[in-house]
Amino acid sequence: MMHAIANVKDGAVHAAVEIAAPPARVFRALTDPELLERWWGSGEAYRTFDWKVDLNVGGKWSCMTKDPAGRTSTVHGEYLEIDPPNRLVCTWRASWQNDFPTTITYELEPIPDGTRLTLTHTGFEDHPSAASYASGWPLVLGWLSRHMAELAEATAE
Amino acid sequence: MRNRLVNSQTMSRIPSSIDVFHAVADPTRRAILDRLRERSAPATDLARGFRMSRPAVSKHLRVLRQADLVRERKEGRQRIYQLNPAPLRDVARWVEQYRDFWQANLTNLKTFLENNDDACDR
Repeated sequence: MMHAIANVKDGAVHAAVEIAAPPARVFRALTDPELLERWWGSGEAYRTFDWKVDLNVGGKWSCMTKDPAGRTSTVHGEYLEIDPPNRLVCTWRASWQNDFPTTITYELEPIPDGTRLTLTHTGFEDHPSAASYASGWPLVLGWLSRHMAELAEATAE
Repeated sequence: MRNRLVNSQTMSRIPSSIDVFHAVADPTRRAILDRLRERSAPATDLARGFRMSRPAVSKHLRVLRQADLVRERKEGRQRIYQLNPAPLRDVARWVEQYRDFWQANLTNLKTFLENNDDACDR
């Protein structure tokens, strides 16, 4: 696997990557503020800084993001489960999305060459706009996905 | 570019319209949208297609219109309904942009760890 693979299924985002490093190193890269600042972000599109991590259940994490134009935003959340080096669950709140909380679950599994890291990003259906329709949400997203290309074309016209 | 990178400023905000979620959560309304995707139609045709009463279809069309998913225009005495897909794109994008974001970000993590053997070994 050369790079990470991600898809949307049942209203959640699922991503996976195989990394040639043991789970303990991967876990540390996900939770150490200095390391997070080094890899999180893309360089040309945006950078992150001012990472703060209180690695305890109920502890907070946060970072600032800055785009090339110098505009900053905040992303933050709270740790819900910490089980090094196997599992990490935290909430995700972005300032540009009104701090609406979604949930991220990292699972680290040892493989012969290192670690298989899977990420699940859930909770989109809990948004107040969608709340009453949660049961239909996966269906709706499935329907939307099927028509995405077509919708994009139609909108571009 | 392999990974379309997402940053906080270009990432879609949460779709603010309750109406869009509400509108597409209903199977009949999704069916109406599917139908209008093929071609614009007057309410009478839509009612016939769904074996529903005209008022029932009108009610669904009103919801879709409030969400700006459907627009109406008058042709003679008829009101023709047509699909406006833009709001749907915003809803799907909210989640789909996270797919692109995580794909890029986990690839960053992989690249970082595989090229910095010393990192994390303190």
